[in-house]
Amino acid sequence: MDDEDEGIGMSDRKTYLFVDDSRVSRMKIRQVVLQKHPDWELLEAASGEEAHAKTATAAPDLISIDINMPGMSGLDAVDQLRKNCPAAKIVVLSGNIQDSMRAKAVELGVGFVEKPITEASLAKVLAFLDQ
Amino acid sequence: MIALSEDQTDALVEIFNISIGRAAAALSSMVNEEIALSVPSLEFMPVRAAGKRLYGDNAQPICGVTQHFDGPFQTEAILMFPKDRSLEIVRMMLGESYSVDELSELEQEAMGEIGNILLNACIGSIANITESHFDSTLPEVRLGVGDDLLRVNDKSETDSVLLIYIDFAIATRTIQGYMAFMMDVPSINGLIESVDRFLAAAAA
Repeated sequence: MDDEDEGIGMSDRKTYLFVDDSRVSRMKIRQVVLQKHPDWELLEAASGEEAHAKTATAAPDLISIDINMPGMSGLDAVDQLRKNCPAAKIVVLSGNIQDSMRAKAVELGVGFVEKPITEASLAKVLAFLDQ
Repeated sequence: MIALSEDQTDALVEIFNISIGRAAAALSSMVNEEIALSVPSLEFMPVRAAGKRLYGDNAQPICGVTQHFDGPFQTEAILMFPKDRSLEIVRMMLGESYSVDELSELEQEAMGEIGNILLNACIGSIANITESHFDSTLPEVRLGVGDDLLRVNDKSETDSVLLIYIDFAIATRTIQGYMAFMMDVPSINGLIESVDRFLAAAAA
């Protein structure tokens, strides 16, 4: 059995799509993830609509999505993203920490991680790949 | 003028203490520094006096991030930092690997995101404590002095607001900022109902 068959290891290259209208948040995600996984393919989208378009052609292993964005809310985008990428792990990564938002994420069957974006919060996002 | 009982005032300060603590923890993890907080101050005042209360006679330009929240009560929430320190905050957030030009280009957007996270941490916490839900607008970054930021000049002179404000400091950098929440009279009634529910739950 080679490394790729053994689940998620350091050498296991993944594709990660992060959806956030804040450019600095996307920069921070890129910075932190590339430090840990320089070989990963990182895709960005600034809205739910852009994420939907990107996932028509790409098949990310992991998608994180903010809630409060111009246009479609991140929570409203989840269904479409799941249709496009049925195998992807989807995690809400948001500063909207209300219990009502967590409950909605649970209802949708996706993860929930609180901003701000730090090594610790992104470790929680990436851990969803192991679930 | 609306009067709060001692218990209501105490509960309101406690709710904001917990919620601002949550926002301070978020800021602390973003800039990797300890954040010092004041006790929340509550004041009823004419809306046009609110700017002066927050800024005094200081004409220093402020970088403000505002968001409107709508739930059991409505509030205009604002995060303020001195404009001349915002670049330093953005550097603390993004690290040393960016040039001054790059940081300057990102300054407003980064301040918008910091405001978004802090104001949502605070109001989100209030929503959780009072078992309610708030919708919000997207953050808006405003640069200016005093009343320009609160946009109170278009309000009637007779309008009163409840102003709740907290000052906080990134102590090692001597950077001082404020968070303020402004509520008009109908919203104050909604806030008081939330506080009464909190008190009833605490007594149960």
